[in-house]
Amino acid sequence: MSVLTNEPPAVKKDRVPTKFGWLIRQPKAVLSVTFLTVLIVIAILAPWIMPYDPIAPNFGALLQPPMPGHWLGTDDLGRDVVSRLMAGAGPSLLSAFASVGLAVVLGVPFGLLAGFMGGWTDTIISRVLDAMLSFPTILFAVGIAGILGPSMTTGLVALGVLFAPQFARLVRARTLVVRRELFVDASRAFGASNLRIIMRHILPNAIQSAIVHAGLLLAIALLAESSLSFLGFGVQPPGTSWGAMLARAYAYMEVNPFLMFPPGIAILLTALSFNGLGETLRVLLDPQSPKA
Amino acid sequence: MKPVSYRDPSLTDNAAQPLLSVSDLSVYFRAGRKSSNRVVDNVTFDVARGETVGLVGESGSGKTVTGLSLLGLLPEGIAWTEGQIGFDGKDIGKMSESEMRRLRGRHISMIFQEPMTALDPVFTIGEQLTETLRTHFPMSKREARERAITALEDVGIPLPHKRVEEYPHHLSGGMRQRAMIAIALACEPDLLIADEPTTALDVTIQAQIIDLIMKIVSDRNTALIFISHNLGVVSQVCDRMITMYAGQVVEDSVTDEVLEQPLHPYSSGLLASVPRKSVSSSRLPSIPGRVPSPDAMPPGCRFEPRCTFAQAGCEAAQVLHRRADGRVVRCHRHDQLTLKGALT
Repeated sequence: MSVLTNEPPAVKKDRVPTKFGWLIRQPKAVLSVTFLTVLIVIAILAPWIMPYDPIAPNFGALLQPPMPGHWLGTDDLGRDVVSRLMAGAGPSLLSAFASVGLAVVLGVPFGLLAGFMGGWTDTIISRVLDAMLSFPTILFAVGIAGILGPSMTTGLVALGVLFAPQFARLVRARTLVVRRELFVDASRAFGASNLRIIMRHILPNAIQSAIVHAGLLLAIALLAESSLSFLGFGVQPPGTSWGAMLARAYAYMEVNPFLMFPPGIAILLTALSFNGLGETLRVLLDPQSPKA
Repeated sequence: MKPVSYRDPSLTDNAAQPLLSVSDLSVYFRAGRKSSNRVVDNVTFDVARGETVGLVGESGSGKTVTGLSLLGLLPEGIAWTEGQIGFDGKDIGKMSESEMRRLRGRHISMIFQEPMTALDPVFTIGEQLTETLRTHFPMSKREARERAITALEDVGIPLPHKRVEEYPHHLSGGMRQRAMIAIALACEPDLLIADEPTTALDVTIQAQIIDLIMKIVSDRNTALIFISHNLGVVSQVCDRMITMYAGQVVEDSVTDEVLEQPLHPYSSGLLASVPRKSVSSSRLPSIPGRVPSPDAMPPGCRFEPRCTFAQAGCEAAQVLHRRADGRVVRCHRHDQLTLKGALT
């Protein structure tokens, strides 16, 4: 028989669940964030850490397979693929972020306006969105690039404009639901103005699906940039991006199929990370989803 | 901490003048391209400062629409009003949108039926309270937070300094309704409109919330319009009871008098259908039929098809009779009928 003591049982100190604690227990989030951080660091440091000049041709070593010195081989002009991947990371990421950013900035306000105002405003905005969405994406981008002249800036502006209707549509649909919620009427009953209701109550409740969609679109933007570069409307040679690399590799597919893999896999992994990041961000910003 | 009062000194404290004076208020809803339905028909009533008035009736009797129109919260383009709503001597109908905004939450506030959806899920209770406070009063965030904690304390929420940091989904239904009341009363309005504030809550919580509303309203001398179909609750809360049927006021009397002897057959029917333990009949009495839809109103007395006292003469349109004892009723037989109340 044990002796009873007055000593209280050792209480395990309650740990207050924190957002950071939740975050580091999400393998998807940790992997995505780590990968993107490393990528961004490489993109920034590229001019100093590249083993070779990414644009100087070396006609003595054309289309080499992977080997010591050229870990991922060389391309059709004998340029080191590792160096070109590093040099292309910056333009690729930049155009993805910039085009999606532009799309959010253009699309979200129109979506909010259409959903909140309804009536004629909604009809006009929705028909314009329909018209834009019915246009073939790449054709439209080529058209814009053709008018403004081919360059990376043109390419990303074109993509941003093309992606905007998707955000507008998403946000409009959510706004239609949220503006009928009782808390919108309640805040109006407590004296809030329309602008305040849109910014404080509708936007935060309508933006969640747009955040996830931004993650998906970042991946699509990476690929779209490569399509534009492939058609010659993106990054102009001798500059490079992953899309431009993929386009060049395609031309030599039968001679050296390996050349497609480095930029392709880089695009794939980055796209996956963007998706993971978008999903995690949505859960993180939604106070109603359990995080503990 | 010294209790802060936000009562506006510019308000006329004239006891003779009613705080709210609704006259011939009609609300129309668009029902098609060219037609419209009159869902509230020439409603007239006054609410004095500090008075508690019950607005009772079945679903579809126009009581909620009346409540919303007092705040100008009817859906724009779909509904419009006629008549005057005087608040403290000013006509609400003639106010601009920005004047209305300054009125809402500050002088007239509202509690809604569904506490589960009336709070914004992405902001904490504290953020929603301070938002309303800072809309109407220039104050620092810190001051607003202090004030928010006091407001939560006033409505009996335990650990208010902790609850201000929590999101609506952390709270139970009763606690959310308390939080709603705290927000609605944060600026110490002169008139509170409570639209079925206890319908979505369970019975024990209902009693607590009603006690809370009654206590705060009488402590602060706030006028109350209590919209409900629950006569038991209304008789407990309200000095006066306005019975609405099919968009019209059918009776407006002091609560005790209605309970003792209602003047309109509809009020009597409502009272009879309140469940009571002492009545030994096996079936709960009910009023046969239902409220006529707004596009198919009977031309005469709107209650006539369901009225057990209907006779020749009832098919004529009914007007409001103001009796010598101050009670108001819309029935031409009010002098002849002796109707059953809740106490007889």
